[in-house]
Amino acid sequence: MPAIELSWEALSAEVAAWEKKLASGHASLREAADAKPGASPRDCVFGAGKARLYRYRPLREDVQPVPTLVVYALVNRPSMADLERERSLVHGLLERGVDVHLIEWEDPSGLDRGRTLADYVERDLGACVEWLDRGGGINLLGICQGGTFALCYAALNPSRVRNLVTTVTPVDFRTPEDTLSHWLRYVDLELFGAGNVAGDALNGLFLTLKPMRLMQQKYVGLVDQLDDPAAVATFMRMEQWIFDSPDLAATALREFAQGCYRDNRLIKGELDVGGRRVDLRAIAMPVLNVFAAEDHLVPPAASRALKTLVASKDYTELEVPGGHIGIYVGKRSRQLVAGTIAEWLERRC
Amino acid sequence: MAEEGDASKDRGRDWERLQRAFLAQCFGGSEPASFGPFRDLAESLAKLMPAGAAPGAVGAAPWQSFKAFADLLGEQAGLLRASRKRKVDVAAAMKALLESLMRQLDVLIAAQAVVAGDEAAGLASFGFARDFAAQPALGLTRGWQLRLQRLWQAAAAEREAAARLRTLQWRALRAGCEHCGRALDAPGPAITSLRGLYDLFVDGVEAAWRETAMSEDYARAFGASANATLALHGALRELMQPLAGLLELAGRAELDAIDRRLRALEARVRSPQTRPEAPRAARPAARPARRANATPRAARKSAPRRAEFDIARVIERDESE
Repeated sequence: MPAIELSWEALSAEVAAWEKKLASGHASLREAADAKPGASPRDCVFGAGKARLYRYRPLREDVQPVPTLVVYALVNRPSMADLERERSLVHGLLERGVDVHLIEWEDPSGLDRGRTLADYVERDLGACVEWLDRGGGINLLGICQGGTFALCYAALNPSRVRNLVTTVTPVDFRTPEDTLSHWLRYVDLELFGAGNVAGDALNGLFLTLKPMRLMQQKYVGLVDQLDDPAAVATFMRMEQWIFDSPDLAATALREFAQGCYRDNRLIKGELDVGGRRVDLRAIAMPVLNVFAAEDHLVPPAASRALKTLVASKDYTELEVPGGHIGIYVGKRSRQLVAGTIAEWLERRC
Repeated sequence: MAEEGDASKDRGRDWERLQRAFLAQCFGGSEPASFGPFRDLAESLAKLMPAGAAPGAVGAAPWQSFKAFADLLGEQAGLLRASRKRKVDVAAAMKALLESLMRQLDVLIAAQAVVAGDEAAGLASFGFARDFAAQPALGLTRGWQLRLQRLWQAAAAEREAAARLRTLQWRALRAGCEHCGRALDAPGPAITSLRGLYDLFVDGVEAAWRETAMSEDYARAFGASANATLALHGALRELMQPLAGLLELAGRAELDAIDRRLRALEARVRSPQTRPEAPRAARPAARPARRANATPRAARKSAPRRAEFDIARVIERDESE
């Protein structure tokens, strides 16, 4: 038995100290209330459909000659990749000379209910790649579902992609640890097509993956940090990011849920994007696949599956300690991820 | 001063009640359906921690669960002390707390079965409409009554499915308490703080939750609940669409029609047959052999990729066909 070496006196003292910390920490919570993610200056350079293409201002004179395009998921917003200077994947890449561009998806309106995966992948992402490509292709860097989009695009347009980086990207959607996939088994996905799905509903779903940790313990932990204004500001930026979720276009979500989660067509070479089949064997360019060891949303096995599916002879894997988001915003893992990606690209540009 | 405070509290409660009633009216059923079954667990857990499903607990700051945990532990110690009339240690209080939580959960699980069977409650918040919908659908109002009846049935089905899902969630919490109890009896590092004890409880619940979440039963209940929620949305939409029409407001059907129209136009614009002959816009320079400098590519920013296209002409042509 783990001995409980705790007296009532010690317990009372701990509660009193905790309450004192909470009372004095309210000021730092108020001060940080408006903390917003986003640290690196950038300019909007192009737009297509629902995509806005940003270029981050380089930090060095000698930027890599091949532009790198970060493709984020439709769920949440890409500001997570640039949360704050010390916790920014984007900043880490800029410091190392990567010419970073990023697609920010505009929120779908009621009129966009019929937007398809092809609209996002082939039309919008495709237009951005075409705009950036100076001949010989660009570097694509996908995050989570954005990684799946990047895979689809690269497989359908291999000549446009010089190097492909996928991070916490689901490839095999039916691995044993995949809770989301398990939960979707009996959902009538046709009903999804009726209307855009609220970002709040998706957030609620993600929270229930680890309900006690994400809805309670996390905030109990916050109290420990209340005397550290910088830590509170970081926490509030994360909160802002987590709960600022755009709605999802109904048709694209249904196609993704059906094609990927339900039927696992990506690994079978049967995923249909705008009438074209995505065959991952068409991916012969260099591939760097980064995934998180403790990822509860995209289990490592779901990402690892990529290795055997692509034709690339230059395939590299990097398993990073941390969770789905932690590998981008954790100070140490961020250095590892940004450093590895930048160096890997540098050798291939 | 105290009276003013009480009045303010009452107003707060009224407001909360009104908000919930409003959301229920808008979304159908007794809960805001935009959260649907996904939110249930959050509420359940929040209710559990402070004092066993106390109304209003949902609004408490989430970190208060720690203080509530300490309070519950102290409460159990007090009860044990009163019954045994001797000093009680923290370990004994913790075990008593787990047992108490499990007893409360048993009551909640039993209550869910009652909720699931309470079809009439499915549309309680629709008040007047219930009696109307219950009548045979005949004559001038037949269409409205049918839509209301479908909404009623969908709300009842949603309520039943949500209750089934909640039951599994409560059971997972109960299993979490058992798990925590076993962890207390297993060898391991000593627990030297209240926070350590709280974390042990959280670990237990999460471990049990993981087992439930990955079970076949839960997947089925989740699917049924999500489907029922989406069907309820559909029934509500079916009711609202003609109402929007009466007020000359654009509804789903109009938006869909515009969407189809725009897509058809876009397809025409993109098709090689309708695309005008135009020189390709100047492409960016070929990739330099050496590293590019960091000068922003201003020229590229302004350079149009394709020649301007007169969409009005295409629309005009499309209209005439």
